[in-house]
Amino acid sequence: MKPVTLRPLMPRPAIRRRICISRTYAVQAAGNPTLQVFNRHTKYLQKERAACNVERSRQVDYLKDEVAMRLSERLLDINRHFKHVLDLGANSCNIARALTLPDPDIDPSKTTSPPLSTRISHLTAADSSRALLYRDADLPFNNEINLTRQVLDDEESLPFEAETFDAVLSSLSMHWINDLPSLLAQINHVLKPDAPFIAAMFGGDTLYELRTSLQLADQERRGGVTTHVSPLADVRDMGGLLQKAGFKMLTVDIDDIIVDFPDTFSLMQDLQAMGESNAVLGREASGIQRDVLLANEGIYRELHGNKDGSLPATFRMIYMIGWKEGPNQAQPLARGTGQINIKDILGGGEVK
Amino acid sequence: MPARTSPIEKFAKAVAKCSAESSAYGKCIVVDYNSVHKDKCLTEFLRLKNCYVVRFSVYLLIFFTHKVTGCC
Repeated sequence: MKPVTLRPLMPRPAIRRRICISRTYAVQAAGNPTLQVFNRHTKYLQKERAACNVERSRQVDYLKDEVAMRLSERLLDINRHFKHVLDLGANSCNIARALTLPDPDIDPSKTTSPPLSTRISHLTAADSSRALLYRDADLPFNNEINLTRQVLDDEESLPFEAETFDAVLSSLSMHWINDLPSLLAQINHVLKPDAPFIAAMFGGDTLYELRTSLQLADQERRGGVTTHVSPLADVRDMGGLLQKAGFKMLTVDIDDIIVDFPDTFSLMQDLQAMGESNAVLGREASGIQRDVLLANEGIYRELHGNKDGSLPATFRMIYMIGWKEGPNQAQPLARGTGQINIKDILGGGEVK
Repeated sequence: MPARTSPIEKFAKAVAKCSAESSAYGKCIVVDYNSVHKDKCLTEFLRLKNCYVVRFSVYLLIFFTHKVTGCC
């Protein structure tokens, strides 16, 4: 006779449950963990929200339009026709608009000066924010340039084939990238040999006035500081990063644009409307406390204010040009092989 | 009906009326900004905040009684 057992009444043994566990293929462990500084999703939401208010968003495009214009001026120096150009992090296609403007550098020997867009057969504008990218899709400048808009899932991983583009441009969006070395390497990858990468990004001392006064206000009101202004890449770092990504013949230079605002609130409102609010990981979700804002206004005015009562805000642009290595590319000469003293050409010499 | 004023605009308008207090507070901080600690300029700040609270409530009062007729 079978012995009486309590087994059916007992909970199922763990061994039977384990059958459900499915085996999966082994995956390669991720590479070096990258330091995450910015919350990319927050940034995406901020840009989408900013672009929803079309009128306000266009009002505050002054900075992006100006930088896009200065960036396209650098394209003038390259005497080439570009078949396919990528505008990475296009915002509201500010570069495309700047390219369709009349040529700022008028050659006196010619009677007409066609806009830069005639030198570009096809421009792909890529950005992760759909609302911002398509904001100006029905404006007249779209007809003057062969422009394709492409919404990216993430600006940090480019979905393009190797050696696709004759040039890559990027204006004021790379300062929100977490893994800059990886992105630069990817850009180098999608460029054709001997093709340029021209970019402008906020760097170093951008908004240092706001940074310092908020720090002082935080310190005095709350007894500690928190991040309100993003950490930004330094000019000196960019050369190294470009070199590491495999770019040749680097040019890195800076340019300060100082904008005067009536008060700190209008500065912060403009930044918000640009979609450039704080998106640092670990920022306070509640935003800046009112007491700190109140304190900040007084400190900013005393520490940095102009005589006429306006408040200056510095935006420091880092412009960089790098070339992908290619055959028959001009090479820099070895050190010490120079035959002509540059002083003889430029004149002057005495530094007073 | 006047266009909707955002909270931060109301805040900015109220703060703009307290420029004397704001300036006094700023001066107190800036005079020695290397050694700022919590409540270093508490008296100046409270004066500023009092001014702001009064202005802000006045502003709200005007706003709610629908008498915004270009006075501000």
